[in-house]
Amino acid sequence: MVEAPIREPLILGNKTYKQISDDVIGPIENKPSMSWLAGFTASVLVLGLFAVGVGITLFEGIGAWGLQRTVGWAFDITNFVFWVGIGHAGTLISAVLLLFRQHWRTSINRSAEAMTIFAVVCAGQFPLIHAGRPWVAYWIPPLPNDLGSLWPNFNSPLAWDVFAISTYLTVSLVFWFCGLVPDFALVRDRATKKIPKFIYGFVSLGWTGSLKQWNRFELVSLILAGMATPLVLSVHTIVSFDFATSVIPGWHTTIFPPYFVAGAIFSGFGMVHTLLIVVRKVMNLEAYITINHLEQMAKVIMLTGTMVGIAYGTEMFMAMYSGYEYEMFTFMNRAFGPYAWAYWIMMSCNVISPQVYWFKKARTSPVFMFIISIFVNIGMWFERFVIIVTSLHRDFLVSSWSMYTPTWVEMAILIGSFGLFFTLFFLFSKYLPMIAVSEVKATYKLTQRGKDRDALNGKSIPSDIVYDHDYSYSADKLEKKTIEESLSESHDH
Amino acid sequence: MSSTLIKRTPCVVGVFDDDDVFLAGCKKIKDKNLNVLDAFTPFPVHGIEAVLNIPRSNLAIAAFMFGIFGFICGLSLQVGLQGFDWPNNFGGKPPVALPAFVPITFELTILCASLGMVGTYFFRSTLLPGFEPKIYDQHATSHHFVVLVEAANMTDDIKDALKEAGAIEVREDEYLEQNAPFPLPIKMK
Repeated sequence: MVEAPIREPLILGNKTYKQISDDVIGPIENKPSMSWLAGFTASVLVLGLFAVGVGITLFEGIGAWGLQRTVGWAFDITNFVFWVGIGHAGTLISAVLLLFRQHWRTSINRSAEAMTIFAVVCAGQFPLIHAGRPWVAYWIPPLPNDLGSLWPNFNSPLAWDVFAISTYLTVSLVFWFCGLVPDFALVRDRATKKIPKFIYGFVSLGWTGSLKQWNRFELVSLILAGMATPLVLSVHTIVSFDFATSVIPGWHTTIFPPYFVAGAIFSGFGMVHTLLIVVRKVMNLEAYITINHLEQMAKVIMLTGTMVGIAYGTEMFMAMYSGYEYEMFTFMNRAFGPYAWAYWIMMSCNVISPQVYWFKKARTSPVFMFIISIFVNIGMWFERFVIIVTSLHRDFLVSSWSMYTPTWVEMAILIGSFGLFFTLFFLFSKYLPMIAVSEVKATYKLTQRGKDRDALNGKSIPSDIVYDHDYSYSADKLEKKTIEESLSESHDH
Repeated sequence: MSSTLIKRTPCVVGVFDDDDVFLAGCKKIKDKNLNVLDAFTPFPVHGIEAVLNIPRSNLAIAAFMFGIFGFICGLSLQVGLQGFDWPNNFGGKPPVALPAFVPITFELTILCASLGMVGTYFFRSTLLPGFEPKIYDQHATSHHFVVLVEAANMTDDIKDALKEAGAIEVREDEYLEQNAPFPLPIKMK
């Protein structure tokens, strides 16, 4: 029997499989709590702000924003890159950690994937409204048309972005839905009322959990994870190409793709922390999303925060080392120019604040982690603001230098986009299983300690069954170990 | 209509409440030369494929094929439109700029591979909207592990074999399979 005494069990308390179902599906079946209703109402109100901001933008045009000839990209693209970045943790948790066989992902992958999808939905709004006329958004895909040479320019990273983001959204949705199907079937089988039974029955596609379904399910999850991993890296790489392929000093650096990907993972995990620290309290899921889970994420935040810090340093060094005066000027202007306050907010939030996670006390205190995660969110928003605005506002011609200040419409859209995000997240937390029930059950015994495991279902379980620690299909290990023998042995004792 | 589309096989249902007991039980049932029609579990029980001789799925090949399709589509779309249908001069760059076509080709490869594979998986596993499966045990998606053994009627031998394997409940039922050339979203009754 292989046991790792160092590792904490992933789920606390001796749960039976039935209890796991009850704990996760319970909130869907019960009436919404007061805290849920309050949170949901607040989110919808903030979403109203988004509608107002977007409505004014569409009615008046982009003139309602603070953009000018010199700073033609500002809040909108900052928000776009910010939300896309947040959308990276979900796929990282569900795909990359699946490939690395990290069992701790099972408690958090569902909500992280949901967060990914909602963040990408938020991100998608900004290019649409910035384009000014969203009703002709269908000009972007290469549709046959009679308007002349209106094929998109396939050399342009902005066209790549359209394909990258929409592919990412589609594949994330598909991955998420595939995982949800067995859990929908669980909700269906537990439902007593007619309407929920019909709705969850419809979306569960008639799942029964038969041998072949599970067999294919696992293979599909594995291959999707294998494909989503390069996809998630490509998406933020392509987003960084929006800047890196231009000729603007401060943008056209080759470090951008890895630097953006690290930043995206950093901000994504920051947002997962913010959400889950609240959710585990409000939804009573502390036994499932444990301090251990939060600590693992804190480590990732520290690592990626440090990577981002190194990228800032490299960027600065390369600018100085290049001897290219425009590049040098841009970086000096970033750190000491009129937007220095934004630069130093970025530096302190992103580089300094995650360093406290070197201390175990900091990594295990939810309150502390929540505060740091807010810093990370703020810092990563300012990172994009710094990159975009400080590179633009003092351009090659001194006569066209200017300052950018957002209007209240832009502020409303930024704040309102959080309303959109949280409205979707609240709906998700009420109507969909917050935790991947079947995946948690599948890894439950592997990760419990011997004593807890024996207590499962109140019966003694043969102690020398070898648990197949990897997700592979080869069951040759099992063939060698005769479970039957071990069973009869334990009965004899 | 449904009577001709559904194939019925009499069977005995054995219900287990633990995955380890279930796995060991399936091995015992197999050793007694009983024919296992299917099994229903709330989560993938690892090792069951080897015990019940479930072949490895070919979905990986489907994914690869769809991926190749996506690759060809992505590349030919860009080369065709920008190189031949309406070549434009973008800053003096060549109309067929292959390195610039890498991102979209890659995205379409992934998109087609994943959508195609998941579509195939849904279709082959009869996961269709509106399909109403037969549920053999109400808790088979929660905490029960169900095995279906082919038997014309429940003899004491079969009952004992299942009880001995660790089943907490044994009962007679009918195993339903679709008898159509392709999966249909019908009610299994």
